Amino acid sequence: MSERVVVAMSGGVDSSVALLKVLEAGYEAFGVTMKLWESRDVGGQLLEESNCCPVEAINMARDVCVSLGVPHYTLDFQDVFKATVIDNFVEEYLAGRTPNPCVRCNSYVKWDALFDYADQLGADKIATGHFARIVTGPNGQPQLLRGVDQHKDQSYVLWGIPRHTLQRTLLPLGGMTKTQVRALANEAGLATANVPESQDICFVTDNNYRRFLSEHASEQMAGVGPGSILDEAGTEIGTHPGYVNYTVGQRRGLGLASPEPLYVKKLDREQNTVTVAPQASLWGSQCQVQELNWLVDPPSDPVTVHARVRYNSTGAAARLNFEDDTVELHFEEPQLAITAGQSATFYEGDVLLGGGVISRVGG
Amino acid sequence: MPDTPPPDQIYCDYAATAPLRPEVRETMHQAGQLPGNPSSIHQSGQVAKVLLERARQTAADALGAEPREIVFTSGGTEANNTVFPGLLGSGDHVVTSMTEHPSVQRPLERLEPLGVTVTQVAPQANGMIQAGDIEAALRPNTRLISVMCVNNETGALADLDALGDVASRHGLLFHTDAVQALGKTPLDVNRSGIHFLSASAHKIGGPKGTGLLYARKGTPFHNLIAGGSQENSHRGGTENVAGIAGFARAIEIATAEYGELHSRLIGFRKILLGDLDDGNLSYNVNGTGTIPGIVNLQFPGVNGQALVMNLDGRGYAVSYGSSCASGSSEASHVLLAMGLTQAEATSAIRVSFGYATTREEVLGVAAALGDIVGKLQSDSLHAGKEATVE
Repeated sequence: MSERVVVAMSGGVDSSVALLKVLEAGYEAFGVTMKLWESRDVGGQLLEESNCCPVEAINMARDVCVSLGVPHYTLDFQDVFKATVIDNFVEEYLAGRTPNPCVRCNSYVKWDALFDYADQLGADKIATGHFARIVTGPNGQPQLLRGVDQHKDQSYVLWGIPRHTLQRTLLPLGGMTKTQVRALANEAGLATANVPESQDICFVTDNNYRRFLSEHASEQMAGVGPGSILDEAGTEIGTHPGYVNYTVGQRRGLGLASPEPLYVKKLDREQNTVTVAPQASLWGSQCQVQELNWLVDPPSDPVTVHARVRYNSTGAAARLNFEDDTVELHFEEPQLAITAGQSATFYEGDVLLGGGVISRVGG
Repeated sequence: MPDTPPPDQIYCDYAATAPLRPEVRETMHQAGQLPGNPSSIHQSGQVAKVLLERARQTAADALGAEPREIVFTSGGTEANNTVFPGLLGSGDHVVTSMTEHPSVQRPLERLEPLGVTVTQVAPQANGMIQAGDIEAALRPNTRLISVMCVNNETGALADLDALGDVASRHGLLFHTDAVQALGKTPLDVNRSGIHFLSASAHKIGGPKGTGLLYARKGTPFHNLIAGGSQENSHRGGTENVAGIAGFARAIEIATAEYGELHSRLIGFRKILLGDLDDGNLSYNVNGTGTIPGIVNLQFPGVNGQALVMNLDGRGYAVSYGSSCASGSSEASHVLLAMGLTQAEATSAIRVSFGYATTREEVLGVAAALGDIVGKLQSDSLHAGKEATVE
């Protein structure tokens, strides 16, 4: 009997083609769509180009499954999503950090709660439409590699998945380009072939995280009031309506008159201050990384890796020094706007070694 | 549109909907070829009108009603939605149950801001709504009692005669949602003192999208859909002639087959439960005094939704609680009202049989249940915890 695979279907083109590839490979497949939130709970007007309305996404995923002759189920993961992703998202912004909710969703929802469910459905493996690869390494252990399509590579958001799940995970799109994925979907006549790319954060439906925070966390936000905008010397050069409205590296919306462009460099929750500086001052070489997860045998001696500190960066060479449960990350060349709360991922070539959350910026 | 042939499945979800009876399909096919609007003067209209009124007579006969008391609707949900607004106003009190279908509960909730108060009476642990409990909840301003005849999740059967007696002794109106009852248990609106009764075609092998509301003559009636004098001005809109003709055909067959089918379903229920007993499975049946065709089964330690999906994979269609399209895994309000815990309620499924069910199918679903539940229960024991629905 062929192995049974649960394909996580978002209602987009990528996961639809993942299902197609899983079927082509001879597996017995079925699709599931994880219902993570309700529109009425997260608020906001859906963007026109969004494919993220849960009902439409579920309908699309079901359409693809039915047309490919496989069962489709909608699983309710709203409770676990709220507890592990949305609540953390709010806490992180309130702490003056910039979170990566997709990372936590992968770690705690897709590769944890979904695996629990896969077990109950007698499934051997799960598959998703992420652009990353799982390949058997030299030691016979599965490794997670960057996707072949450099522009679409999603390994950055997969550092947190439990290592032991790699051998039960299929990432059928890792060797494909986005163009190939679309072409295959069109060729197969899938309902999702021309669904637009999903937006950054699915539950922030209008891409306005400030609106989301003020509606969704109104109680906590009530305690966030106006404060000072400081220059690097600590001199007040303006005021702000609340530090949560800013992220490190932000330039627009500061309302400052200055001969040279100023960027947000630091958010201080205790002092309720936003520190701004010229871009030159946002370059840094060091940060501290915690909440580590390794997808290879964890290193303990200092090692040089290729590190990424944001989704849209190719990364740079850096030295990792280990201290208890913390990594000190030293880039060989300064990086722009390293931001607390974002993920840091460590690579050797294409192999994702592991990652963590940036807990402190600077030495 | 891609080809989407029906899956090759054993269908054990008659309480969600029953497959269209072949005879009904034939009747609808013929009626669907009639060009006329029943309201038209010409002969084409006359033929359609006659078909419509014959169907009304058939429906009335099945309920012990008069044809003019039958209002055809788009289904049971519309019938339930039609009953309450207009009839109830500020200061009125309604006694209903905690186990009603949402198409009774939600419309009543909508009236609360207008000054209508609603008391939901709890069922007995076996799922039955006791007439005595309903009577105890009456207030001086109670206007209406609304209690479903057969519960859609457990099959629990209410004593309509006793409920009607309470209503009549207190001079109250009595509505019953009989969507799961029509064709499954004898109904007589006069004997049971019923003022309003909702029913649906597709639960008995008629078409989806057709139902009826019985409204006793002389009882205040407020139409929900205005805009035409159809249905004696009780429901505007050109009548769904083919659907209504199919509904009537389904009623005729269900009435003729009732006794024989009822005995057959009692036998199937025994076979199913007997096989589960033989398989040494740990299980409970939720509800007693039910109609035979609905079996609500609870398997400790098993995630009911996962069980439904596993059965689906084996080719058996059953339900998790009522059929819910939204992907929610909330525990059934019916089972919670009966006193089950959250964990117990989420470990239940509903198996329902009907007119085309065969003995082999019952044996098959029993065997598949035995296999899957046995495995899931042993997994959950190994995990040292009860499987939970997220």
